[in-house]
Order: sequence, then structure tokens, then C-alpha cells
Amino acid sequence: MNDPTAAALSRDFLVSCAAYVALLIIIGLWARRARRASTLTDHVLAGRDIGLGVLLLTLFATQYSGNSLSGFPGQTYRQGLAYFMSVPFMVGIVAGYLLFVPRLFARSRAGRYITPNDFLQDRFAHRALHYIAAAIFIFTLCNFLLAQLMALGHAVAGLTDHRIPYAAGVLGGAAVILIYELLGGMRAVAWTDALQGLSLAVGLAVIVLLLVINVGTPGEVVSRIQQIAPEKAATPDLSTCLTWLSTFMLLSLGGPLYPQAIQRIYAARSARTLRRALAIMAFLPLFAVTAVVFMGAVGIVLFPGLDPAESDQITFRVLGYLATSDPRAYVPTLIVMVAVIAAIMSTADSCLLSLSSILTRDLGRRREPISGRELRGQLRRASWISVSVMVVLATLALTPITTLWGLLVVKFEVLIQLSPAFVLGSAGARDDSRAFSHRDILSGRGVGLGCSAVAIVTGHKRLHGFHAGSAGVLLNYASVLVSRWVRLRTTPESAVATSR
Amino acid sequence: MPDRSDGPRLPRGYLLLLALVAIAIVPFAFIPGTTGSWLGLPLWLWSSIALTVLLSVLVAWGILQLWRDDPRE
Repeated sequence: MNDPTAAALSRDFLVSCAAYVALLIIIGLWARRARRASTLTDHVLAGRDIGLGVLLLTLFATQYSGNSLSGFPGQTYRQGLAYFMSVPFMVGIVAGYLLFVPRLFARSRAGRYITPNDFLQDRFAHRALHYIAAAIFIFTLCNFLLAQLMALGHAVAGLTDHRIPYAAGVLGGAAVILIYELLGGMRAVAWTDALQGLSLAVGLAVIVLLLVINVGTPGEVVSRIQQIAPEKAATPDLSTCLTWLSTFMLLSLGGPLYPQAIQRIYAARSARTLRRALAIMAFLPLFAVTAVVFMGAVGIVLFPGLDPAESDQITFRVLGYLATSDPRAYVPTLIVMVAVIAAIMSTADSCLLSLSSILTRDLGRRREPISGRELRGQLRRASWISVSVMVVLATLALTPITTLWGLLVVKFEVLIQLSPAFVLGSAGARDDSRAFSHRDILSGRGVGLGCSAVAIVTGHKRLHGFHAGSAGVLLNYASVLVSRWVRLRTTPESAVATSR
Repeated sequence: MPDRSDGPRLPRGYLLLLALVAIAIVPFAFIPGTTGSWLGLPLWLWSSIALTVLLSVLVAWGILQLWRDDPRE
């Protein structure tokens, strides 16, 4: 990138970011005015009244984190065309919702759920199962929030040519997220998600069009990849295919279990609204993920020979190239650059909101607050927890530990073990002895978590390309089914009939 | 506690079809070796793209046609 354009882009990016941050605070204040009650339900679920447009965009923003925008092109750069598999992965997450969300949504209305654990408490009423699930959700959210804060620091530093250092990006971003989240709760988060989703969609569409004009059509780009790095255009080998299959299973079963995604399900205005939003979501990866994968493929052509750390910045290198070579790309580049920051912030704010609600509600007493004073006290507690969590994680993020993708996979290995509790658990009632019981679910969870932990600790993160978590969840489901079968075989028929 | 065991659920055949399409997206059938290309893109990629579109259509269709409202809602 030539210096005058780089300097102008860097300066305008900073101005745009400042404007975006101001807009976020205004949205936070606006959301605070729209608040209907000083309760945790209103703060975390926006009064269960999110309509189609905002629900779609907030689900979109939840599914497409900063990792999707900066990590996916980097992965495409390193792995080549085979990374197109990330497109069906994202469709797979929507398919994964189908396994339990229709029943979960119906139950959430009847049971007035706020956190994902409310379902487990309602369905199984078992303390150990409840606390293990809460611990897994908290671990996952801390992991995810930490990864977003690190991504924020890297993105800000990269986009400003390190004029703003990594630490300032982490701390500044954390402070802004905290302010508007405390002000407006889920409404503020969902509205900012909608703003981010719209700007990203428009910016990406224009960028892809300009990449085709300036660099070449997908076919031309692939032809050049075959000349520069033929291994990146080759048919994936068996081990890679098994890894894809395993990742597909991890994401389809684990993706819908993100607490922030489940809370958006609870927050939908109606089942009809939710159905329509998810149906549209099934098509979005075809455009959004394909666009970022194409950006990574273009990166192979434009910047061959980058090392893994440099390839993590490929999105910004490609954007910088485009802004320099085509004046029409300047504004769309700026929009996408700000949208990358916005995507990271929107994922982080969703994690924070979910984390504070779980820490407030699932680790404390289970008695529901009744009086207005108790409800306000619960909300105040959630706010203080948000502040404390953000301070701890922002401090941790100042010392980067591992790569973003490494964090993501470790998180899924654990989160996915909750799948049987939701998928099989939602299919039966607590008082039906033929339905899966807490013992069935606990035995499966023990086997799944144990298997994954042993594999990871002993350095066998993958077996013939298959993730330890995928193997763990298969054993988890098998154990749950065997446990139920044994229980029904050993329980007298009369007892089963009576309980029914 | 009210019995909420029979909430909306999807036919097993439909879920099995989704799983089969998902497995078919991964280009096992093209291993090993190089495949031809069309419009510059390798055939294994075209196959994955086409099946991904099919998966999206099936998922959206299932959400809209098979997920019925809970009558108690």
C-alpha cells in the first residue's frame, strides 16, 4: 500500500471508529429509554419482544464473530480452497437448531426461561447436572470473550499500522462494550448487532464486486492459485475430509448451544418470527462466508508466501490493496474495516451479557425474586458482575496465549458435550420415566468430557483427523442411550406405566 | 408441572436426509487425485457448492414447513 493512501485510510478509519463508538453510546442511551422494567428479563431478553428484522441481524451477528471476518480468510490463505467447507459449516449450525429449538422455544415461553440452564433446571431438576452445565457455559463464554478481546486488539493495531497499540485496542474496546451493555442490555446489543450486520452486508457485497473487477473472477483467481501454490487448489486428502466432517459435527451440535444464541431464541417475539429469521439464516452463509473465503483466496494470489502470523492479517492486507488500487473501493473498504471491529465488539457484548446473566442467576439461589426491590437488586448484581468479568478478561487479554482458532476449537470440544441434554432432554418431560433422565445425561456427559479431556491432555487432539470432542460427543450420545436402555430394562413395567 | 413432552418435533427421515447431504458435501468421492474443472473451479468444489445450496434449501424448507406452532403457545 502506498504511504499517502495508507495514512489517509488509517486516519479516516480512526475517525470512523470514533463516530461508530459515539453511535454505540447513543444506541445504549436510546435502548435505556426503551426499557420497560428494571428486571433481568427485560435487560437480558429485551422483554421477549425482538421482531424479525432485528432478530435476523442479531442472530447473524452472533453467528459471524470477528473470527469469521479475520480468521476465515486467514484459514483460507493457509488451507486453500478446501476452506470453502466453512460455508456448509455455517448452514450446519442453522440445521443444528432444528434438533431442539422448536421444542425449547415452546418450553421457554411456558417456563419463562432467561438462561439456557433454566431449561435444564425445569427439565431435570438436578443440582450436579445444573452446576456442571453452568461451569461449561461460563468456561465457553469466558473463552469466547477473551478471544474477541484479543481479536479486537489485533484488529485495531493492524488497521492503524500499530499507531494504536494492541493493549489500547483491548482496553478501549472493553470499556466501550461495557458502557453500552450496561446502559441498554439486550436491546442495545441487538440494535448494534443490526447496525453491524447491515454495514457488513453492504460493505462485503461491494468489496467482492470490486475484487472481481480488480483481481479476477473466482475461476481466474483459482487458476492463478494453481500456478502459485497448486497444493492449495488440490482435492483435500482423506485426513482433511475427516477433519471437515468432524468440524461439521462439532459446529452443528455445538454452535446452537452458545448461550447467547439460545437467549436470542428466548427473546424472539413469537415462534413465527423465529422460524422466519432462521429460514433466512440458512441462506446467509452462501453469501457472507463465501465472500470472506474469496477474500482469503485473493490473498493467496496477491500476497504469496506469508507466514501463519502474517496470514492472520490477510483481510486487512487485501482491503488495503483494494483501497490503493481502486478509488471506488475507498469508502466500502472503510465500511468493512469498521464492520470488522463492530463484528468483534458485537460478539463480545453478546458474550458479556450472557455471562453476567448466567453468573447472576445460575450460580446464586434458585428462588425467583418477587418484589420490585429484589428484581432491581438482581439487575444491579448482574451489572457489577459484568464490570468484574470485563476487568479480569481484559487484563488476561493483554497477554495473548494462543491462536484464535485454537481457542475456538478447545471451546467447542467442551460445549458440545451439553448437546444430548438439549437435543434428547427437550424430547421428554421430567415426570416421564421413559424419557431421558438426569442419570442418563450425566453418565453421557461424564464419558464425553472424560474422553475429550484424556485425548487433549495426552496430546491426541485428533485421531485420523477426527477431533477429540467429536469422538467424545459420539460416546456421550451412545452412553446416554445405553444408560436409558439399561434403566428401562431393569425398571419394572408397572413402575414405568405408573409414572406415565 | 405441565407436561410439555410433545412439543413440535421434526420427522426422523428429514433429519437423516440432512445428515446424508451434510456428509456428501465433504468431497470424499473425489479422493484421491486431481479432478477436472468447470469455469475455472475444480469439480469437487462445484459439487460442494451445489450440495451446500441444497442443504440451505432443505433446512429453510424444514423450518418453514415442518416446524409447526405449539398449539398451547
